[in-house]
Amino acid sequence: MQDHQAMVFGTLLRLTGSREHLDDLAQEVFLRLYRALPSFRGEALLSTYLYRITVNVAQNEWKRRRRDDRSTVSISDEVSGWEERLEHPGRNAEEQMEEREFRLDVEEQLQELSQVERTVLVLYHQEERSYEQIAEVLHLPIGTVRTHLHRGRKKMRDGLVARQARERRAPCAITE
Amino acid sequence: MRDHGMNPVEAALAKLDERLVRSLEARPVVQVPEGFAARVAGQVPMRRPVLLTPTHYGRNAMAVCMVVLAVAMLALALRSWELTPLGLALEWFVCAQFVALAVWLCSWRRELQ
Repeated sequence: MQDHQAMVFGTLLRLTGSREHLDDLAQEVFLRLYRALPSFRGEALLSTYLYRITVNVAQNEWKRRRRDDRSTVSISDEVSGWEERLEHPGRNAEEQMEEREFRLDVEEQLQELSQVERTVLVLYHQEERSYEQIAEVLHLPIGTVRTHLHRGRKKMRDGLVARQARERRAPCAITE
Repeated sequence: MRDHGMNPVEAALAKLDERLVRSLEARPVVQVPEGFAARVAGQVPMRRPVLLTPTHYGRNAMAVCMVVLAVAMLALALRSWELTPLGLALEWFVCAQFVALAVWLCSWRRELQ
């Protein structure tokens, strides 16, 4: 379990975009795994099975939030500050701040995507899963996985471009 | 250079793509709470051992059948001088059944041991 807990926490964090209830969700993943183990026939890798459970738990969380109509807490809330820990120590402050802002924008754009696009992006980029593994986890054809990946990235890129354009216009508006 | 031959807009988009992928590939650092594994292990429901009470219905039925067959053999043996060929055949048949049951009972007891 200790081998997989970092993966489960990391994936859940990116998928749900919030640190709220993260422990409870991770706990739910492992309890579901435990309950499902007797019926696990070894046809898939255990990690694939675990990803499937993790995605299912994240989907339930999205549904719950939609029901509760609660706004999500940012992944980079005050407690975490993980973007700061990722910074390269040699960079100057301005570059670091820019990079941090960019990562926050990326996280925001990620949460704007549909559930399946977000899941595919997280599994492919963060978890370094292959198309085949993602297709197995999500029960989707490989072509569909590719489509979601490209579409998701394009949406994010367009969102970031639009955001940068807005930010460039904003100072002009103030000066006017 | 990748930017070679690209117009400035394309070059900027390519750079943006690179940054985007780099950000997506960066794993968020998560602090797994102390004692998380123990907490989960505590939540796992204990599996109750399955209690199997042996019933021995088969063995009892076998014993009853052997008694019945023994009585039948005894009854047939007492009247053996009156027996027709059909009666003799019946006696052999009952005897064979008794032996078969005795062999089965012996092999079953050996398996149990």
